[in-house]
Amino acid sequence: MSLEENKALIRSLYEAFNKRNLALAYKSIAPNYVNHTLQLRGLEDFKQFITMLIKGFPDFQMTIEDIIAEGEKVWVRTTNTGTHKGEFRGLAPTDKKFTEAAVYISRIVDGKIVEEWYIVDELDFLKQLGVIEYTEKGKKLFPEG
Amino acid sequence: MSLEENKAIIRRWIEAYNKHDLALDDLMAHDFFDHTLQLRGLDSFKQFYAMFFKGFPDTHATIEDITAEGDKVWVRVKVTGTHTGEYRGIAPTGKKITFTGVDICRIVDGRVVEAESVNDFLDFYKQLGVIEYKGFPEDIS
Repeated sequence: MSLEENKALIRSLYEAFNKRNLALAYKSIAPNYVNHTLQLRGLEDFKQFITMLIKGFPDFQMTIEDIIAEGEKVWVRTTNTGTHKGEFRGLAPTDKKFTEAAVYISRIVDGKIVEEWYIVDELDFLKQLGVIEYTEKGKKLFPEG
Repeated sequence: MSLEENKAIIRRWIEAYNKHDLALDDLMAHDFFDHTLQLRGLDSFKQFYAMFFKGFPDTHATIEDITAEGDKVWVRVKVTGTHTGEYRGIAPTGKKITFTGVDICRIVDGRVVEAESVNDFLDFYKQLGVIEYKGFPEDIS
């Protein structure tokens, strides 16, 4: 696969996810997929995670802001948005909206993602859901909130 | 500049960070802009990191992955440190901190002209004791 083909794979995966065409999205994931950040092992783990995510944030959308490829890897910077409408990791729905910046690094072999890392500011995400508070020390450090 | 030359600039930039060397005029443009930290100009970048190095005198960044295309270099780093100095008015806690981030840097004529970053600061702030959860399981991160 060329670098441009690898990027196209990522673009079509996110588009399929945004349209909730999950059957198509899952075709981009290798059976032995590993997500190092989320500690997911295998396609079934990935499917379970996506199911949980969509249950918590039914309108979850990913917008690609920047994309780069080298070797077997594609790096993507996205803006993700969603509304917390369903239970997520034990937290009852808050109805809060969030916007987060994220970076995903995907290793692609033979047209499927075999390995992934991602970085997202969980702090900002949880603050927007209203489930994190600054301590007295934190209020001093971040007076702007 | 080739992609490998651009990566080499970012490697030198991270090496300078690890030496707490703020003599960065050969590596960064004077009108450097950090979109995430909203630092305008190389001087404000130096001020920010002088403050950070004071708070975390042993801070160290390890490059976990690096890639380049066009005029951009993306680098995934793991940052560690110990909060043994005053940081933004917070007295030293002695806590070890660690976070992972990706910096996206644009390089023109051998100098970093702009950067943005995505960092997972959740653990960092938890470790410093500046945040607390309300009604959320502690094991989320």
